[in-house]
Amino acid sequence: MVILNQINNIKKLSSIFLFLVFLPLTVTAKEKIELDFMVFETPNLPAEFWDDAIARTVEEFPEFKINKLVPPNVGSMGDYLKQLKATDQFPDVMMSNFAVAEFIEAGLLLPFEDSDLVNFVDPVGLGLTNGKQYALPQLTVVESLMFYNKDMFSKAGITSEPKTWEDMENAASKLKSSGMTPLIVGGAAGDSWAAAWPLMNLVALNVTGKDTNFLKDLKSGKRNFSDPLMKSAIDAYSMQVKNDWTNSNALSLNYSELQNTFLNGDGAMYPMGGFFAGAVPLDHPFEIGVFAIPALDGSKRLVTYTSGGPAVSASTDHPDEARKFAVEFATNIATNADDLFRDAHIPNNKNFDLERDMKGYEIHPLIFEIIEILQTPNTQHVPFFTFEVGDDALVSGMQAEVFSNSQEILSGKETSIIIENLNNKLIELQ
Amino acid sequence: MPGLILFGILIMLPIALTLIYSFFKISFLTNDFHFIGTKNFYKLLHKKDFYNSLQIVLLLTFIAVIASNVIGIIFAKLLNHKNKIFIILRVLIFTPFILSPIVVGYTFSSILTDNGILNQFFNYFSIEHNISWLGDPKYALISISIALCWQLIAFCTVIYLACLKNIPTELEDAVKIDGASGLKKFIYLDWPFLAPALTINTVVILISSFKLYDRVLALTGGGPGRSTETISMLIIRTAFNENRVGFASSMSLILLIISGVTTFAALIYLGRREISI
Repeated sequence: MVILNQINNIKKLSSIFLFLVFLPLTVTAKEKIELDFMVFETPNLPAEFWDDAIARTVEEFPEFKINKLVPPNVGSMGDYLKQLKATDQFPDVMMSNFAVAEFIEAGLLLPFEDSDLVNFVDPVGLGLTNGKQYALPQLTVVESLMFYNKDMFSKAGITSEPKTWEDMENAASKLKSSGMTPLIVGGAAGDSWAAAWPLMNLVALNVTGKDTNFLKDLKSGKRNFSDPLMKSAIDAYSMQVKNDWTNSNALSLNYSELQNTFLNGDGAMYPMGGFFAGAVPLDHPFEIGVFAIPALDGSKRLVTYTSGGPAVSASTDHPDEARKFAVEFATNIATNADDLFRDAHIPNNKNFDLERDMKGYEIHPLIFEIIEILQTPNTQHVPFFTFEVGDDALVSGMQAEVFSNSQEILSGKETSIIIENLNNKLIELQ
Repeated sequence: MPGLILFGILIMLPIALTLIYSFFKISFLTNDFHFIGTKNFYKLLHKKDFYNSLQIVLLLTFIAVIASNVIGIIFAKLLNHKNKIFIILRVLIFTPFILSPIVVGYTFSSILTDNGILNQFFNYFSIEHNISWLGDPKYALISISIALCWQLIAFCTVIYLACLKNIPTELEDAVKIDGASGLKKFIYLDWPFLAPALTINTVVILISSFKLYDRVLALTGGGPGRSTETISMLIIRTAFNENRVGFASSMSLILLIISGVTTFAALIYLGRREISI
């Protein structure tokens, strides 16, 4: 009996001891605010970029424990989020590198407060829905850019950068007759968004940017893809393929291979967003230049995208903390600098100073050229087609249809078939 | 009883939910459920994409059934020896089947892409060609069927080999005494013994091909355009890209019926054939 009592006493004492030992740990664990944060990885923004950026933010707020989530590929981020939503795993915070409109409409995102937006140069960014901002306008990307190989241009006798669509067509003809591939385009498998890049710019520059009512009319059923403006934009892309100006392997290249095809000197021009500049090494064997893709009618328009920052889930258990994390992440100067260096994302942060904050970075001159293009006076900035928000947002599923039909254009399908496909899908989804 | 409960939860419940969902308009984004009766099935009748995907799946299934069975039998015959080397070869030939389909997809992608191993091989021997195995809609489907068959052949070979091993030695000896060899021996002795294997293999191939998703996702993503989009891919796109879960459920149900009926018909036909042989 005495032995049993002693054992019980030892048990009690050891329990008290264990409780005292683990008490501080449990308190610390409870204090930590755990947030699931979805990012995306690309050749320019690999895992280490995100890990460093998260670590910097957590340094400011040690109470956060961040679980990083990465979708299978950057183009499927929206679909992946829907799958997570369906399985009750929707992240607390997510980079808004997807068509956010349908998520806003479904009430899945939390609006930011005005106080969250005080440090942004252009707080409206991509646009507001019902007067509210749902994705932080962390950065600006110039989308309608044409990178070009200066050596190839001079070999073909092209002495100046094309200023009009005709100039660009003339340049392509000259390059073709000199035995060079004028344009590098493409996007296979999960990277069909890259195949759609030229089309999204052509539509933004010549349709939705020219007639700002077009998307509203499309939504209300007043107009469809048979509209003459839309037809001319699709034709412009289709003609590049039909004239044999594009690379023959366009549909077998993923995004990384596409980028390397241009960097290897296999083609003279490469239509891509400003982030491509981040992939050009300073000691690249040939010089690369950049100009804004001209509109078909000669108007000065530029497709820009100001958003891309974190968005916060409306169902997060820690809304205030998630917003705090998102704002700190988007306005962290060191993260902004690293983002500009790696992906030519121009920070939309009032406190960011290019000269002061980029010290220590050897920035490619292309990035400065892109900033100059962005600041060109008297230029109408137009939103990127399929990424619009609010009343201008396309119905869910249309973006994927634009992506797959861009692949159809590259495989040589007629404009009339593309228009029919897009109209059919629009009717089906409305 | 526990088995029945597990079967109910894991198999019957999802099927029942798919059936129920197919009569609703559902979005997982908003969690909205609206009863719409048979509208989803009516819409499906007029959906071009569905017929396109069905055609793709039927073609791939046809290729897979024929190629995997024929090549499987050839491999099984070649490997039906007792030598140690053949035992190692048998293990090697089965290896593709134990690989994850997504791994197979990415492996074939590195082989078939324009700068991939296959084209580099052609370049090495200065064989000029202009084939984009994954980028050209004409060849993309062939590339997918190669990746699909590569895995299924492994399975077929092992099943055929097991049946060949079951042939009694007395019968083999009798056939030898009767002077039958080569094709005659195969038709009159091997073929009847391979009948159960043909049934098993065909059923497994039918099931694998109808629900084909992962290999295609890794190889072409359903493209270029929609030229290689299987029904499973179309279902996922409809449910998670277009937010039309009810409509996607109606497609799943039709796919279940088509694959179920086809598999059942194959099972009955091949089963009867086994008895008659």
